[in-house]
Amino acid sequence: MKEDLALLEKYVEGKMTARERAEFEKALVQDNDLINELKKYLLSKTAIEHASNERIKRQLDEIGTTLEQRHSQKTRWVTILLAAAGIALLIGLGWVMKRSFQHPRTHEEIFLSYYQRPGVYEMEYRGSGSDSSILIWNRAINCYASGEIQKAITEFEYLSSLPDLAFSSGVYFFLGISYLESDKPEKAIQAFKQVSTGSRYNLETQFYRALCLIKLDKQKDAADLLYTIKNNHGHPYRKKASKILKEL
Amino acid sequence: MNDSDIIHHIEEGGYLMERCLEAFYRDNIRFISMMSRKYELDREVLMDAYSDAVIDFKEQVRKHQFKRKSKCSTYFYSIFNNKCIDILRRKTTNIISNEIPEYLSDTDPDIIHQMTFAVQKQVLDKMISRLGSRCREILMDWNDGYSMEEIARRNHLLNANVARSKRYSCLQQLMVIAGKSSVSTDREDINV
Repeated sequence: MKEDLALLEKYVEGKMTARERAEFEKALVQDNDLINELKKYLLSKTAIEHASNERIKRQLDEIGTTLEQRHSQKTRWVTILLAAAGIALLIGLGWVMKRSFQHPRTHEEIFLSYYQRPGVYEMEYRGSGSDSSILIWNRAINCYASGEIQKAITEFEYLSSLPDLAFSSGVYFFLGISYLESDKPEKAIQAFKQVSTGSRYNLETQFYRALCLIKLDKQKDAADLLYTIKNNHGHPYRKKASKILKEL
Repeated sequence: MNDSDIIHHIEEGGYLMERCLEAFYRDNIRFISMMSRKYELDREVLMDAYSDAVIDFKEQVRKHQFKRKSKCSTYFYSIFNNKCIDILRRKTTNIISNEIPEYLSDTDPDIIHQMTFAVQKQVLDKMISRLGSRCREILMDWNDGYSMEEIARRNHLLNANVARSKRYSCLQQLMVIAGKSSVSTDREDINV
């Protein structure tokens, strides 16, 4: 049987010599059993080939599943990135369009958006002494704090006329602010000029002077002053000065 | 891997053929996306057809039907393309026939032949399933061109001689099963 099988394989695989092949084919014609064996062999070989191909297909399909998972992950990421890029592009375009079509702000608008009346802190009060100038100062500050600007101006003007006033920088600073509140920027500048550079009001005065200049449409002078503020790294109004400069 | 390597490994069979087919499968996977766009078929269906096409390519190389007149990838593309056209035919019956580009040669069997082949496949599956699992593995390894030493190692047999003897006995078992099977094969008419 084993020999017959070896013979069949040799014949099917074409490994016989011409003589062997001729003899085998002669036997095939005479022997029905041999024909049947050959048929069974061929059918078996087909079944093995089929099963073998199915096995390879399963292996390939496994690889395919893994690759597909990667592909779909990649596709998902690409979609997310494209969506993000689209959104970023829209935002960018929107910003550019806004910048292009936005009407530049007037000096008055810039002034209004950055001006804020300075508050009055406890330290501004000089106590209740017998000195009349201190009493007037307290009265002026009270008027200023309560929004009675005209009264405050009267009191601050009176104080500023007094000779050898110890806290004159404070007086001139609040007088300047009060003028600015009353829409008198030129007078405010004159008052601010009297504030001593060594006083604690000096840095604030610089900023409010710059705002006065903006209000008066003196763009170049305002810009010079704002650059000075911007270049002073310890200046409390540095960031605001930088923003205003961009707008100017 | 160049075309000569691909053909050499497939013809040699065994472990190298297995690795080569896996690499070939990965290298040409882009064809799935191409066919998906071309014929608008489901990716899942295309994946199945793609692995079938790789098997067909392997068979044609092993049977020396691939004459190397074109690149392996080009030849494989035409096999896969024909598989896709078959799927379209099954899906749309005669509607698609006018839409298939003329230049595509369709060498696949017609629908009657395919149905006969499907029945044959069932019979072949049934035949092989009646063998024990080890016998199945040994015969498939032998078919795939593994050497007797490799077959022994893969199937935990003592040595190549044991593998050889086992292979014969398994094949005999299968031939007995085949004798009981009523299916007729196309090989009856093949001039071997």
